[in-house]
Amino acid sequence: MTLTAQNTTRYADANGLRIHYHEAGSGPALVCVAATAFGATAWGQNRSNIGALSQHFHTMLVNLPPQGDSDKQVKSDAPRLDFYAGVLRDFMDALGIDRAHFYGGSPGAGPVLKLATLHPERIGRIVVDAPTGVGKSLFNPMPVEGASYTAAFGREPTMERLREVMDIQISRPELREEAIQLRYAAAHAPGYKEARNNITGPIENLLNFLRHVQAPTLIIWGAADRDVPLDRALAAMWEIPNARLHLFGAGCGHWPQYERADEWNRLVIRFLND
Amino acid sequence: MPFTKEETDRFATIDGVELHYNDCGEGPALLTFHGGGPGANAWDNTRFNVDELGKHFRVLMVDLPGYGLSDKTATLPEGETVDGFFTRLLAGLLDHLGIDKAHFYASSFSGPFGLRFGIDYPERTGKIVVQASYASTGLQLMLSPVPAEGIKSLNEFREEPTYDRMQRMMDYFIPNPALRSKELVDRRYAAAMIPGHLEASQRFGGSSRMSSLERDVARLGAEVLLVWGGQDWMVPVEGVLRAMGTIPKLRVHIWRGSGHFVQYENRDEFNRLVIDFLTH
Repeated sequence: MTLTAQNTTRYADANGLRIHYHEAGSGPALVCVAATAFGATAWGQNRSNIGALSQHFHTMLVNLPPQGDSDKQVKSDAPRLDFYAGVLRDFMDALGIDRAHFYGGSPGAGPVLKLATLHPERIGRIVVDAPTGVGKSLFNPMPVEGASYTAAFGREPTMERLREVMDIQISRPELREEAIQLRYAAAHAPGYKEARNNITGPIENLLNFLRHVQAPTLIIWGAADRDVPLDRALAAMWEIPNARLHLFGAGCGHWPQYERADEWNRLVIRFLND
Repeated sequence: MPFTKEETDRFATIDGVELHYNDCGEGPALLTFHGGGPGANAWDNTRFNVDELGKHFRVLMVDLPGYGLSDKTATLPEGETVDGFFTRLLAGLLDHLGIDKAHFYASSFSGPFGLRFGIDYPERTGKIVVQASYASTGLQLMLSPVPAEGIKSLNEFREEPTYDRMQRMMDYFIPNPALRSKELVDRRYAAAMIPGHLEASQRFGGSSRMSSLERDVARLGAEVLLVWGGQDWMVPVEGVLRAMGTIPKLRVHIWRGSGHFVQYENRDEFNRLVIDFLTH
């Protein structure tokens, strides 16, 4: 059976918040957390991976509220990564999962890494793609291009603005269109833009706590990333004691899980099975 | 049955230069080399990996001239660069063995030779694994002191080759004390003291007659996997940033806690990564 957004869609009640997620496969639990960027969704992020991952793992692609079709009645002024880490713990509790491997992409990485410091017993291994929030680049002016365009798209979610974001994030033009269509639809879900304004807590710098992440961690990055500069990959690696860093060379931007899907899938499956 | 050095030792004379290699396993050819420091040789470099690699490949572990059991009297021919000389011998070795095309695993000092072979003999090159080596023929660092801390210990051994100095050098190679062993030091010391090795290796390693890899590597068509240790005190890991900008078809894997010998320090992960890369 071909996996689709529709036939994998599930809902969970995480301590009163509706969580929209996609589920496939069996085996050790693997929770993939979607970026919380404007219009980003779990399906949009990992649709090229769920097929391969679900051959080995009980794979769940999770939308943190209010992303995707997750709860729009969300409200929090707590430090944002603590809030999201709490949602992930509640999600695991709701499904009766004691321990899982975790993946987080871009701003989806912070909640995973925070959870690893707050509840290390709930985490097996960790994979992250280009985490945001690991301090200022040494070599690139900040904010970098991608963050500026993403913020502009959040203020004014037009197709034109979105194309600017995707031109920056995805290196090869032929891969952009499908990602654009998915993201545009999600950005215009009823109540979405308003709900985002109800999450107001400060975002912590990951460098404050990465040294406490004990789980074996694989950090993945694209050399052509114009959203989180490459030197931040080294910074993240130095902070996490049990880290490996995998870089994809020229032609790979901010979405290695999508831009290099086959190689990424093999790399991640092998690492999680080690 | 694990491969042993003695049972797999082979010799071939190519263009008047005797090359030693170990021939292990069956499958597509994979040529492996070694670094440039005193006592480096192909068998000791890859002996922790050859049993796994040999299940998938015909692993040919080649001592470059001046190293291991290869020729100690060879000199650089007039008008030829070190990389041109070595890759000509390697092409000759493939001819001798009747092999059209091979993968390469080239660490440290030999990294540029693997890349140079891929540039000059594209139709004979499969994929290339490079370890802890710049895509450069000069050591140009931005963030680390030159010479690197470990290189100083290597130069001190060359000045006065005592066992103690070898031990200090190996401490720099392998930052994790739990992975160091007397056997590693003993073997490396013995290889360093093979008559003629220190002089011959310096003849090639110390030569400035190298072609410009920076310029030519843009033409490299082969897929490249670069592996490195985050605590490499010999060839600092900042070199990945340099390689990212020069090698066209590249992916890089770094183990944060490893030193210069990632193939030994992370052998299981290394083997799986390399086998996956070379077979896909």
